[in-house]
Amino acid sequence: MLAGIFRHRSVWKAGREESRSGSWAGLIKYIFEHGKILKKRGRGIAHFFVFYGFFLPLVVIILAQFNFEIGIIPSGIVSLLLDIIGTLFLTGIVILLIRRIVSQDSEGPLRTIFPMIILCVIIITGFLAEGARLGISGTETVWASPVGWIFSVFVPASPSFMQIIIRVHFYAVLLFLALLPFNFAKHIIASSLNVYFKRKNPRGELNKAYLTDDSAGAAIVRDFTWKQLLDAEACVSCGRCEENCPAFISGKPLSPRKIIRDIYNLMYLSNGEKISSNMLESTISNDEIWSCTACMACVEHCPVYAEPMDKIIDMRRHQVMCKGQLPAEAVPMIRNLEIFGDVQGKGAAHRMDWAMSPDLEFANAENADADILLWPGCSGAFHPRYQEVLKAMVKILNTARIRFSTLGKDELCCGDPARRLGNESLFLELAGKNISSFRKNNIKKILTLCPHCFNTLKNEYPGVEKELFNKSKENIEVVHASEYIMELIKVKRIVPKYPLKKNIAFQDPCYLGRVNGIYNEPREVISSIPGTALKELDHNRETGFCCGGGGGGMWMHEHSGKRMNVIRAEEVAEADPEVLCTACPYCLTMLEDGLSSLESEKETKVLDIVEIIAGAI
Amino acid sequence: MSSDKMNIWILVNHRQGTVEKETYGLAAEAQRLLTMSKQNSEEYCSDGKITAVALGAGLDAELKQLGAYGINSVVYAEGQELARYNGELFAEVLLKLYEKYKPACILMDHNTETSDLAPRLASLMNTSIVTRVIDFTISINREIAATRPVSSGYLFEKFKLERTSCPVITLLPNVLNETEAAENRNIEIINEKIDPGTFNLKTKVTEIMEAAPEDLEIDEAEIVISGGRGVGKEESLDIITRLAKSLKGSVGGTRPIIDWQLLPFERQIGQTGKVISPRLLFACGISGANEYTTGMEKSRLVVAINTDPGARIFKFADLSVIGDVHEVLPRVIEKIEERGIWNL
Repeated sequence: MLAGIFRHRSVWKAGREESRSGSWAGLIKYIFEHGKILKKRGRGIAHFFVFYGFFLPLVVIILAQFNFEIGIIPSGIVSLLLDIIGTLFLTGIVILLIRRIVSQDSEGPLRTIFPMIILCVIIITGFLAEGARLGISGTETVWASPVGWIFSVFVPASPSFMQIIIRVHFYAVLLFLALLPFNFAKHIIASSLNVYFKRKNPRGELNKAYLTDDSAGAAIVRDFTWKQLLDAEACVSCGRCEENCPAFISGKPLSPRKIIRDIYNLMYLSNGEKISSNMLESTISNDEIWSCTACMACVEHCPVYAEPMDKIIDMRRHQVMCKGQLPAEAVPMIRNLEIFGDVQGKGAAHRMDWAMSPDLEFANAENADADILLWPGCSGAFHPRYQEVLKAMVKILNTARIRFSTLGKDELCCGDPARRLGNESLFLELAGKNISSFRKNNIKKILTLCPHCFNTLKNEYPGVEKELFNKSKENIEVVHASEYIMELIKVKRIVPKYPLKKNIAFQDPCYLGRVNGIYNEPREVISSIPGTALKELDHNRETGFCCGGGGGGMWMHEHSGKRMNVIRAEEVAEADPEVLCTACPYCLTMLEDGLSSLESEKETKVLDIVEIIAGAI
Repeated sequence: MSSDKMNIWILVNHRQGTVEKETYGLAAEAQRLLTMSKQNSEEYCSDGKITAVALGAGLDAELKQLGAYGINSVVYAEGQELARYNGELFAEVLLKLYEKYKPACILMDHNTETSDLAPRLASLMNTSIVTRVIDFTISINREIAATRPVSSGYLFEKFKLERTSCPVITLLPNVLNETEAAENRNIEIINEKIDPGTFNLKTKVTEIMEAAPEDLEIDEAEIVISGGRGVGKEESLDIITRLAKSLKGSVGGTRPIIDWQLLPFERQIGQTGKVISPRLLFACGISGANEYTTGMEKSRLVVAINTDPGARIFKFADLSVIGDVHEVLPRVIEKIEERGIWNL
């Protein structure tokens, strides 16, 4: 058994070095609370029973090895508890066993039913032995063993039968333990390890790209770090990632589960040593890796903290930086970033065009004594629809008498689309220039409208600054408009007075909610408007459904399946709010388009949260 | 350069009996080369001349007009066999003419035909060739040099050429400026009789299959008719195809049209489709979201038809028509069919 465990360890340890520290407290809390696993009701509860059905009797058995006396009543209670737990354990394991057998996943049943059947044998023989014991020794403590009593009715009261059953029970336990590293039950160890080593960096910060002289990103399994390979080892193939993956749901050729399982299989095929060079590429197709919108639903919903998304990005990095294989539609955008520094290819000279209006007057960061730096982002500066939102933000700031400035023409794209499309070097170039501008102008606090800019500036720039400039200064505070507006409302710098529409539904932008945990502020902002009722969509908060625009999706064609923004629009139309509120330029564009493509009589208006507040003050 | 005058040759680009504007651009370029030499007071070049070379049939009247663009003479190889482009034959004919007249250089505009012809000719002449050139200089005392973009326009490379031979140069069309016609002068047209039988040709044209204009790639077509959600589903798009047929243009669409599978993905215009810059673009039933206009901003002449007077597409239009596509277009098509395309 130990040899088996070490063999596994050698396989995932063959990955690249990565420094990670573990947390015992986190692991213990995770296991005993079971919260992450219980997120999925039915199976979660079944797993809860199986875990405690496995763990508690183990504790009792270990304690029973010591010599001590307890009274009849306490021991009876323990026995009764064990009976109840055993029953729940059996129910749980049968539920999970049925699920695995009917599962569509072809490798699922084979891998998993064997250990489950052993567990069934253990528990049933346990009850049989108890039944036989009751049959032999009489039934004065029958209240403490109800299940055993039921079994005693039809089990022969023969001591030799009891001996045989107890042996079977004991050998089954030994068999289960001996085979633990070689079948599905190894997740008891591997998944626990993965939880122990779970990410401490912000979730929104992508791993640094693996760059060598002749390769970049992940070309072969060994280009992943040991933690990434441990993710694959820890995966139990439960399928929660694909149930929540917008690409999978909309019929694209991508399943985060398949990605992880493929890496797992390749990792063992190559046995950590001899790795044929292009296996990864031939197993995981380009169509798969380019279907991802980087929405992080798979990361959010994984019960063992595996992260399928960063593997997809690493494979994109290899395709883009080593092979120049970027989907053709996205090429002009990347080129625009290279030449002009913005996604629209308009150039720095036009970056402040949106502000060419007499009522929009404010300082450039260079010589301003401002409280906050307003970061319009490429969408705010260039996209005609989002320029409206940006102007609304300026109105709010003016009403609240906040002194603010902008970087003006020195601002460049934050680099998020480049990074998530796998072009790490372009991202570093853009990020480096922006960071220099921030430091030159001594910026302390930044306000962003776009959650993608927000995430990049807040979570990724500190790492970039460390990497590029080799010094870590005090982090610049970055706030998203929804947080900042809530702050302004709280201190009464602005007061929403005029009701806008009664029913407002909120679309959680992935990079605001799931990635940065900002769920409450936008809802509080909407509720702060008098006469407004917030209507929750079916998919909200952690289960919020991606509009399809992230991870470079805005610049890629959805070649197969249904359009993600249409799927989301249909759900919105079902809920029938008067206004759909969002807080992201991609969501705004994608959902406006999705809703108009439904061509329904009543068209739901899509507004940014900033516009809604600007209209209410 | 055996002759004592610098004789610059330009290849006439013509289509369906009409000389294309690129030819005038080439004439202006040749003029610039001569003027430059003059400024450098090079006796040898100061009275250099520009000769247009034309291969084709039925071009006499058109070629006479070339005098207005500073061209001194025309060498015209006429024949029914030359009415349509044939790489092998054209190269042999040009070689023969070159051997007879010995020009200083041959300039062509870069297009699909010359990218086939120029290398053939240069190899027959055993001379140097540079394609997709944006800047070219030739003079007797200075170097002969050509510059062209590489790596998708990020970098430029400059070539120095051998002085002893006649280089073949193809120039990118967007550096060929359109020139105003001056008063026409009488120019000499030298007719060269060509007998294709004298060449030992290895290829023979057996059949010519013409593609319908509406099948042209949208990023290559000069006229594009594009439809959007406002045109409607199913057969409604037929009106766009009909207009395309009568204008001899190609058909494109916005994303909804592609989503409805009325057109294939190759015909999508916009951020996730193709970026086009035709000479004439019809935008029918298109509101003009940024994601579409990104793909058409650089179009030359834009006609927009939309029922909503506030539609954003009108900001990009040279001619804005407020109305229903299905009411406006049938009348337009009727007029075109009545009078022909060029007499509207």
